[in-house]
Amino acid sequence: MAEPKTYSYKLVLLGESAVGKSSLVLRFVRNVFCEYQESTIGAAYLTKTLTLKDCIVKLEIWDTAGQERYHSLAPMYYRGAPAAIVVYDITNRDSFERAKDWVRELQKSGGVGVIALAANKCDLEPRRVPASEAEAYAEDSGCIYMETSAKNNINVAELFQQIAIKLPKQEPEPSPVVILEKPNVPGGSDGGKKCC
Amino acid sequence: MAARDPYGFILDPVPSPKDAEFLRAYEEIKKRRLVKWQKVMGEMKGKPFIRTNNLKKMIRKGIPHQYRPQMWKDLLQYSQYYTPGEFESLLRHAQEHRDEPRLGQALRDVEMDLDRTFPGHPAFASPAGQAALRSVLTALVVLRPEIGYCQGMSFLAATLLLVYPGQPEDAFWTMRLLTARLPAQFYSANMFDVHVEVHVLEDLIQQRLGAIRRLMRANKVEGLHFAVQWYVCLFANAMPMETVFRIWDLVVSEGDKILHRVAIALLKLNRAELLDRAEKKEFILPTLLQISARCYNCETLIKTALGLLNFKRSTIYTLRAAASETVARELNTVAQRRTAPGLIAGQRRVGLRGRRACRGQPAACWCRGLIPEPNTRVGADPILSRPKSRAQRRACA
Ligand SMILES: Nc1nc2c(ncn2[C@@H]2O[C@H](COP(=O)(O)OP(=O)(O)O)[C@@H](O)[C@H]2O)c(=O)[nH]1
Ligand SMILES: [Mg+2]
Repeated sequence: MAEPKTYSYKLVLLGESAVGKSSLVLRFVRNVFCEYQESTIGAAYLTKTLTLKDCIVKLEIWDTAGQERYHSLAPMYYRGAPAAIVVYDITNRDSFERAKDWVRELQKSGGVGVIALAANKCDLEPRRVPASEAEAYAEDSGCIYMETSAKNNINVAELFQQIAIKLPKQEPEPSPVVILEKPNVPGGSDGGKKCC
Repeated sequence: MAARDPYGFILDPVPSPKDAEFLRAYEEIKKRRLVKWQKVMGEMKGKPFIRTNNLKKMIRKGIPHQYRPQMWKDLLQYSQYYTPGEFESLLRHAQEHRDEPRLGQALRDVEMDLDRTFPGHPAFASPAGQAALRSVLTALVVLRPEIGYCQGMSFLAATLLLVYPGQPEDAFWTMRLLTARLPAQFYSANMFDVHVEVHVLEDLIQQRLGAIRRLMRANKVEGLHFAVQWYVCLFANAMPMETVFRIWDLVVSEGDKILHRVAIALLKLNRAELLDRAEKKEFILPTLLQISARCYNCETLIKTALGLLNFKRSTIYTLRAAASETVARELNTVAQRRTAPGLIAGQRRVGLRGRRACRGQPAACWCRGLIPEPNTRVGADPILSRPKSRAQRRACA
């Protein structure tokens, strides 16, 4: 049997500060969760390789800073990225409105084909954004919708998996990064003084 | 239990055997230096503070931690600016006006970062530690409403609280004086000057480390991908704490140009590894993102940084001026793409007008009547804006 093909893709996480972007990425890549996750300044970079049924997908994940004033950095990360996860916190209505802005901006920019909306912290109460509303919005705007909890590890792997499945598998490699990296190289600017 | 450094931080990543050996030897070096400092501090006692050449040299080798509280105040001219009661009155203002939308938003942003600032450190896990951090940041937000709270500032405040434990007022004043030494729009609404500084860094890499610049191009890596955190936090959450303090000793003593020296030195010290990765056709970005966190050998870093030849202030100003034009263009394009420009675009325009008038000069010249309405200037702190030295006056003329 022939070796399964490997495809790599850039994936960017966007969304308001403290909705759980870094937590989702760390849960997915290292299967850890910090109650107190250091705030992301600039952006962090991590990679993870997924084995699908008929191919291998390598995700080069950019975890961005959420505060409004870091917004000017965002295009640098989503430019050339075929996939994005827009995250909000189900207990925070504003973060959902902000997520919709992100989806609009991504669609306007045109390049990002696969967009997922992650309704994070689904372990928490009280919920301020009804699932039906968010789901309807996601359907209307052609996004994958997933209720997640980085804390309780709900739907995290599924979220990334769905994106990986949906990404177009065609030559040439869609990723702008031409130089391939060995899998499992720990990455991320979240080094330094962390809690885990 | 994970090993911790003398300041209470977990050693992460674990130091290499070579770095561990260095850290042991470094403790001895510090003891030797302390003896010299004790003598000099004794001689300076009771006299007006003067930064003599000898003192400058000693600072370059690191201020002993027990003298940092006093030395940083002296170097930042704390006693010249300190106004009793101002800190409390800013906090009172915050209490009374927390319902105002802009202030309310900034205070919520602060709140969100309190337990996300050095979360592994015991000093910031306690309610008292968080309260101190909250009050420092709250006072700064009230003081500079047009800047508000910029993520990253909490790491500066926390670093200062490690030097002034339990003394938020001292941390507030030193943070105010320290940030006044940075370009005026560092923490502003679109962080204009952070973009500028990172562009300057790219140019410096081009001039001094051409091979690395070529690698960056080949890997499609931009300075903003790895250096934002370095500049925004003045390395505070990017490096081992001893290295951070050594860098900050120099920032308070000699100014913000040192940040470029440190960034270039850090890249230079890791050049071989970067080239090696490229040779093996590996992506260089993970290395670029890791080199700061593992920089335990502060002696080599500082020596390399200060040993860089021909690192002229005038070169930095020229590069800043050119970079300002580029950044203005870039941020404009980004802003146009935005769906809801609103407030952000307004503040950006103010910034650009100031920039053009100022041509990349340092923050201190902003006061010289170049721009008519001082209160609209993002980043201006009126009490700090009189030029303090002859050199600065010349720079502003
Ligand atoms: N209960 C709960 N808390 C979460 C979850 N995800 C993240 N958090 C917490 O929310 C805070 C912000 O998370 P972080 O990942 O730093 O957010 P980011 O700013 O979007 O990267 C941290 O204190 C996390 O512990 C979740 O799924 N459930
Ligand atoms: Mg984050």
